[in-house]
Amino acid sequence: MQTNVPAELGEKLFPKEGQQAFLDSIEPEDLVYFLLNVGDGDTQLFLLPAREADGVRRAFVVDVATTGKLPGLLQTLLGTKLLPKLPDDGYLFPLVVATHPHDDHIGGMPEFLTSEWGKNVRELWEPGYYHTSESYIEMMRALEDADPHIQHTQPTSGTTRFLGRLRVQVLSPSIALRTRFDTYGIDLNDASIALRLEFPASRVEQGRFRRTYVRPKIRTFILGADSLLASWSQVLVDFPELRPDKAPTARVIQKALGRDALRAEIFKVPHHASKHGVTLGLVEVVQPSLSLVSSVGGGGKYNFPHLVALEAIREARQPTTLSQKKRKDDYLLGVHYTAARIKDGDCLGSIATVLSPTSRKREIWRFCDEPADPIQLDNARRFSP
Amino acid sequence: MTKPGMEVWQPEGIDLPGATLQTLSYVVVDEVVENAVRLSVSAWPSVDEAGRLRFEGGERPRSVPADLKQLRAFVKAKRGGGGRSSQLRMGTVLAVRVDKSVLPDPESNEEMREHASATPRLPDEWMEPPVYDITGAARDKAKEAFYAAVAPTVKVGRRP
Repeated sequence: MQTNVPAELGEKLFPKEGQQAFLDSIEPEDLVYFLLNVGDGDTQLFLLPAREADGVRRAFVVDVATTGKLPGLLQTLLGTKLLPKLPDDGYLFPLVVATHPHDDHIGGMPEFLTSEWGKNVRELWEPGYYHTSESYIEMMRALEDADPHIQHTQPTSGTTRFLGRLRVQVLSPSIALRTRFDTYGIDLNDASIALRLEFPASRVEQGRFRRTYVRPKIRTFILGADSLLASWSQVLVDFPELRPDKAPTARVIQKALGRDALRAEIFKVPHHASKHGVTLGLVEVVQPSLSLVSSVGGGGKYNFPHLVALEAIREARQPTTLSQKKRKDDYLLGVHYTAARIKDGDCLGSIATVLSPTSRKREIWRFCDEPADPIQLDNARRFSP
Repeated sequence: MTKPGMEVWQPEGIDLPGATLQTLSYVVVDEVVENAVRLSVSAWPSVDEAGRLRFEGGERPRSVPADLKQLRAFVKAKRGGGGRSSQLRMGTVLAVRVDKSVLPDPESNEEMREHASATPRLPDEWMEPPVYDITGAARDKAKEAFYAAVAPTVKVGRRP
């Protein structure tokens, strides 16, 4: 079967270390980002740093593609040092995002919202694009039944929510796209809620009788959902690059607001790296050092990930078109696939990225699960280039 | 067989008895990438006492790859009477009898592989004519689901 996911990787890059090593690698203030292997689909879980008040982490969910897999992971984590117990306030999930109503993004959302986990959801974002599928109709039914304990929001670009030390900002849909939803005049994928995350969001250092405004080193994510060209073109209008970046005005704006709004360390590649979701210009603006692709790796009719999209990501990371230099391997360019395999044939599967708020620490773990398999922490392999 | 408190959904445009409707499947054009289509295949829904469409088959919809041109030709040739015909695009809903025995179980690794298979299924391998286009009725139910979730419903006769 033809595939654009690179050939098998050496096992030495991913030594098996198991559950204890995985758990021991994570400090209470670290952010843990799981990108689950669900084939051509998205299920993402963020474990936020433990709150000082109760020592318990909260979680943030972006899409639930399939039934079983996310609840299974949560059940596995519950009782470990990552999630020793549920918070006393009853809201493990201050925010859940259903980026858009395609089955490969919300197929498991009705089950999730209806389950015991759903009782721990405080707010749900969805774009407001109604779809005729079972998953969408049942998700809205679950939301109706949950009323009023789940706050419902339809965000547009610029909407921002602070979840403890994580800042969540909506890049897309823009208001212009949102206005066109009711006409079915845009592709459903372009209804996607694309997000930019900043970690840590904290800006105030507090001492006795004094506070200081600080600018920490920020770790940033862009989660592209299934946004396509129409979305990204609007995003570039709403969040323009500051050019020329050495100009006094740009420097002042950057000082006040941070660097270019679309620059990000971690890029969850849009639309499973389809050729309609990724352009070279977009990746050059984002400049990610880590690009994560969630898709099946079997080629197929959609043939995700598309070669032209992968080449755009590679070219942005290592320009070779003019120099004709030899292209580095994807793992050296920071490109990782849920569908990647190691040489003995095992799927590398779901990805966990661990980020520190105070240092450059960034660890990548893999769990060797096929799309329909549960995640077992015992299978944890640490990426060790 | 519907559960107590449920009725078979009877969309406008299909003049069939409830027992026959229950043998049909609810097939949604969920994703289109160029000529490649992902269909979401669900059991025929019921309507609960609140008038809500309910899919309570106990399993997720099956994901079936198809070719847009082949599907369009099949629907055009095998269309059942009554319903208004719409273009095949994301959100189009078809009512048709489906041979589920040839489709893989939802969310199995087999389904994931099928979803990634290079060859889409020919419609006549698993769909049995006639095919009814019920997009309009389904969109109305989707809008109802949306607005009932985001704002309180009002009682009959209390329309604002």
